Amino acid sequence: MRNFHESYSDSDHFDILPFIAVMLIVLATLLFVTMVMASINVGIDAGEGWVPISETGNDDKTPVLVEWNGEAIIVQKPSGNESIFLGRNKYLWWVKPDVKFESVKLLKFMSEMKSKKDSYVLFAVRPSGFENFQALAAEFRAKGISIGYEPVEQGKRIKLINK
Amino acid sequence: MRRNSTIEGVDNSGLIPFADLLSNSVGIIIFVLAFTVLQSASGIVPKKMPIEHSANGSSSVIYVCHNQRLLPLNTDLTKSLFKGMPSLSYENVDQWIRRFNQKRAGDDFFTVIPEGETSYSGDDLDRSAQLTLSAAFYPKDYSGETEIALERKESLFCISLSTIDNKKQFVYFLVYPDDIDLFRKAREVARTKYGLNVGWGPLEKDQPVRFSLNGGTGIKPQVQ
Repeated sequence: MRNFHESYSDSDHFDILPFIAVMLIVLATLLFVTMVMASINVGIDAGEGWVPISETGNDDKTPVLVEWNGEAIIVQKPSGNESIFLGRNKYLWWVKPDVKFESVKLLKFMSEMKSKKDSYVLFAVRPSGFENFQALAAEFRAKGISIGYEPVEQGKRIKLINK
Repeated sequence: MRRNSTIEGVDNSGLIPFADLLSNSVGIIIFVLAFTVLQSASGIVPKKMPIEHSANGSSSVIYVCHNQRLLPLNTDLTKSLFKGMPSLSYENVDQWIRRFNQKRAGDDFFTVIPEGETSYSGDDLDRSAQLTLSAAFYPKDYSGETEIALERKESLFCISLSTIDNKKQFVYFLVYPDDIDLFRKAREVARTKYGLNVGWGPLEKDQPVRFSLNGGTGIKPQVQ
């Protein structure tokens, strides 16, 4: 009976060490890619894309996504995100005697939204923004701007995907 | 030219099972990678975009998401804070407030503690007192229903939802920062199983639920 060594040494086949080296490199690369994909897509900071469902009751208004983390609002625009810092202490957001928002950038955004009758502000509220969100929302309501709000996990990246 | 299976002085035959194992590993990793890529597609979430609507005279049925449990909040408990209170006049306002602040109310889910304050304005000849009255609802530990219980038809939540008239009432959730998942589950049950209108509002961590009892800035439930 021929032994194992003989059966292979007699046949016509290639050197196996380069093949193993290539396979190890492929394995390492695939492992790396898998880890990266997993951390991006299913990890703690995994992103989420919201696709609006059309339904009656939304007055066919288009949402403008604004993130609120308790200190700053981040307006998501096609041209890039715009961050407007307000600070955590809500009592410092207004200035006397006019009692209006101190932040010029936010006032500008508010007047922009007020002029867009077919849009509304959709707040993505982070847990860190729960404590002072109602004060911010009240200011938008007082200016006659339609709003909606949805809680979002602290680290989760979100974006609106228009159909 | 015929190639030899061995490098000079090296026997390759023992490596074949290893190469086999390696090939299998590569195959498995490719499978895992494909699964991960498919999983990433689930990051796109079709969503009803919330927008605030006027409650149109509907009254709210309030639930609080606290410590992974859902607690029904009965605002009528505040009525018992005024039971047995003397009529209020300028002369007895301080005494009235002291007595009011000593009152307590509650049920299986909340302890209600009144918070009354008096402030004076004007001079000695024309002095007036303003009252600020509110009620703080402190959630009781381990009361209410867990996320798993919400889906059961015999849960208190489902029984309560089944009695709600959608034309006259809506469900309003008050949510603490650590209870977002519980809120989503409860909202889904209210919307999809019972077809109810819902709204929600955020609450500050470690703070009670406060309702103003004489106007002012308090919680104003809205439908979304």
